[in-house]
Amino acid sequence: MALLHGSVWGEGRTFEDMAGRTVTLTGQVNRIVTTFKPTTLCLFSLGLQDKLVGIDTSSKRDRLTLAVMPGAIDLTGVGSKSTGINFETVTSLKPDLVILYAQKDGFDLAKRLEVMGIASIIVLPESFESVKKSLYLIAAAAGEPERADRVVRLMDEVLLTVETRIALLGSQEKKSGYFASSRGLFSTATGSMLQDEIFARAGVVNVAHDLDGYFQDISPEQLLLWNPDLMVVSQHLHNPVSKGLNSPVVRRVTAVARGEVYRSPSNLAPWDFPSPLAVLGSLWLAKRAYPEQFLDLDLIAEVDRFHVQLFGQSMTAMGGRLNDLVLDGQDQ
Amino acid sequence: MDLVLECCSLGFRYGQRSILEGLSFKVEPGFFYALLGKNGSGKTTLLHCLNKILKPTTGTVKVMGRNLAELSQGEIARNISFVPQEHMDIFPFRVIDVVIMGRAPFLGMTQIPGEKERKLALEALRLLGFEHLAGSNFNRISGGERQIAILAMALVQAGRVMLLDEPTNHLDFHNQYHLLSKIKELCKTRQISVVASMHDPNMAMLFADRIIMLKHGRLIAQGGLEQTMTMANLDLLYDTRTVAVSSFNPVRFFLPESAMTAITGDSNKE
Amino acid sequence: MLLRTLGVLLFVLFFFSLFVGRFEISPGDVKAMVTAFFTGLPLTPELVSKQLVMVWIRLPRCLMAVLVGMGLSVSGAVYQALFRNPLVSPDILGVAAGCTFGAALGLVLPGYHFSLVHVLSFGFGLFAVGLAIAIARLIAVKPIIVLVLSGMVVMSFFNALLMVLKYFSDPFDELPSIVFWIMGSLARVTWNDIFILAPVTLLGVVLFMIFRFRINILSLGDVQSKSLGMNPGLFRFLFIVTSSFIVAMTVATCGQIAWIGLIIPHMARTIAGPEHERMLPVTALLGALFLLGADDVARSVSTAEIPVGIITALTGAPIFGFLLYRNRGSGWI
Repeated sequence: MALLHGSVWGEGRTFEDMAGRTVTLTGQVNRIVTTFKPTTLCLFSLGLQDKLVGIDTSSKRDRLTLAVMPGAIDLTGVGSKSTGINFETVTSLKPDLVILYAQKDGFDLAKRLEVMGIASIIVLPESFESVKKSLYLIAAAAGEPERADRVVRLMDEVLLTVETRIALLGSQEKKSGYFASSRGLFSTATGSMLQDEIFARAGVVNVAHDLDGYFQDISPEQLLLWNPDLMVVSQHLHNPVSKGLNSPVVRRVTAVARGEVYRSPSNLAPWDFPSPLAVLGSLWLAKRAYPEQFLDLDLIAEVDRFHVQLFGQSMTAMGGRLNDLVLDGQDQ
Repeated sequence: MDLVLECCSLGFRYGQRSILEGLSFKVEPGFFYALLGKNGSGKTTLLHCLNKILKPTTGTVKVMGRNLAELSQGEIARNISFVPQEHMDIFPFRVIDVVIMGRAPFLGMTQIPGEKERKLALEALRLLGFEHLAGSNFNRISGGERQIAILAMALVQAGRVMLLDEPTNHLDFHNQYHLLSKIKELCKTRQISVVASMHDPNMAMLFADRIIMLKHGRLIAQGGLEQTMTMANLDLLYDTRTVAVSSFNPVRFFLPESAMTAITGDSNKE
Repeated sequence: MLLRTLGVLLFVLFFFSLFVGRFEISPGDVKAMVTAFFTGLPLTPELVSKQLVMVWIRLPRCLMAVLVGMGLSVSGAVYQALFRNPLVSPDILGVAAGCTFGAALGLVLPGYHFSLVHVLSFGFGLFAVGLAIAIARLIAVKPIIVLVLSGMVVMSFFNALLMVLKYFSDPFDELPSIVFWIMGSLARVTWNDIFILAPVTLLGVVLFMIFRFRINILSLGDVQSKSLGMNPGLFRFLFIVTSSFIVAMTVATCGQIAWIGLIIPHMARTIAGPEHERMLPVTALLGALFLLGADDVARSVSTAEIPVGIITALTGAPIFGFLLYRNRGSGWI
């Protein structure tokens, strides 16, 4: 757990962001702009959405966004990670704080904002560790570090729940898993990615753990060779059955043969994505993989509770469903 | 005598511009017709109309008594061959391969040329005295040699009519006469009619049997040498004052010796 | 002689390629599979997996490599002759760009019909060519140059549309799978793809083969073609349509595979001379060999799949450079 060394001079806060920049913020932060989805999710988790004046365009119409902050639809969209952030739009919103991503135009934007006298922090939420760090940074920058403490504590609670139950499993009983990204059934998460960690925390071994880098393409042959016990498909992979689950080779994969193919929840916001909700991903997967260890655990109740604690409403109340079945004809 | 080619009131417009108008003439077998005129008088366009590369806007062209408009491009190609002025770079075909392509009108659409075509191609090159060119890269030989190769291709097409667009353009001093005498020979021996556009009236005098004079797309004279090649006509044709030089005049003009046989042995001039 | 050698090489490489892959399958295993097939005896579970891999992954993949290699290289050769330009490749009229856009549209649309992506991809590919031809007809001057230019217009247009699509409908960054289309891959090939692509490609290649002498004549230009009795406009149209079908089908199935259409004809010309009677069959065989070899590398080099387009580009570019150098005196590059 990284400790944040912040010093408070009068009203000012100085700390180091995740790009190694030293950032100083004075005064209250009342206007925040987020520029990509994970940061928006973090902000909602911290309960700071009232300060949001600018949001990444693609989050504007997200189910979770609309449920947590109905007014988001009227917020100004500033662009997205893949297509670029509109600098002028950001500055026109006169923000007190802009939250940027460490890659693409992140550094560049930060420098230009600095020239305009606008404070920005660069975060890089890609693992549980860095998600927590991002939460701390955002909360500290907003002047309310105790919010991060709270969210991290809630996250750790969930993780502990999982950890204690799977600790009883011997290494022989550990199952192997395969994650298919939204790019395609044969595009998998490598050992460097968040999904690998979600698996690990759930006591499931990622068959693609030895691969490096961003999502990698593999062949059906390789999938059969790995022969995972279960498969998790991204929430946003359209129609995986047609994409290859029907092939005679893939049908021989243990996971497919036993019907242990699931879609990563939920339809509200993805749990395989860098945000505090990722811990739910581990919880859900652990229950799916080792149902005997979780017989007494009501998943929906736990999930709903977590949502209430973070967002003030339960997942069910916000219209969310697990939506995690793939092979029962319930494809969505 | 059966007419090989016949033009009746041939006209061609390009958009609003009239390039050719009211052209009527006849081409008889075995004769060499020289098409004279300034640059831009429509010589190339006329040649293109004679084998349906261009479709005339008015009038008709008949080959062997049949209207070109009713014939397919293939049928026309079996009777008329064409040697253009310019030769662009193409694939680095060998000369023999280019000549063989002249047999295309006689091959089935999917047929590949064989030994028979190869022999005919070599024969054509031999006739022109250039069989040593057979294996050379078409793109690497001189402009004049390319001309010979294309001529051999037209020869091997073996039609009744050969249309030549400025055939002596890229040839050197000796070869100009050599080529034209060979063509003249072919007219006689194979009863091929030749319609060649030329820029030099003296060459026409030496080799042609008949003259067709074109100015601004209109015929200003046609017929035998004596009746057409007058100073008045030439003045009009080239918009310059021309002087006829006869052999009595002290001013000399030069000819290669081999050309003399073509001139002196020729009895077909009217 | 040359043809026979290449044919044998292809056969050998094909056989060899069947044994390339992550799964360890030995010739002995294959023997066991074949024996079981004839005697009806059951196979061990391990052998069943190997058989499935062999029949459902490797066989279609290798066949597809051969088909696509032949189709793209022959199309490239014909285009270079038609357009009298050594730098031309079959996607010059925008086929590939149209296909890629169609595929992206299929990926993004909510409909779930399994072949939506393929159908849209193929459809838009042909539409792009049609558009290019229509624009060229409208301009109606200097047919060859205008075709190339209108092809560029169409290509840019569809590439732009692709970016628009990505901008508006890609919240979770799903369309990076579009990279698969841009770099090409044979990894997803199924027998279904073969059944659709094989007839189109084979028919097209056969068509080009039977007219291969005529392609020589077309390459001399319109004036010469007409005076030798051909209808260049008709042939040009026929060849462009045929080639577009082949390329559209290929891109719709495997994405854009670069360089095959461009360099294989040059290689064939260098070996067999420029006359299409000799060179076109050589082109087909070389194309098949090259792509098969490249795909072997693409799937064996690492656990992850390398798009075959990377291999063809990495090897294709230097080879092309070398060929340009080698043929520099021939008067046509």
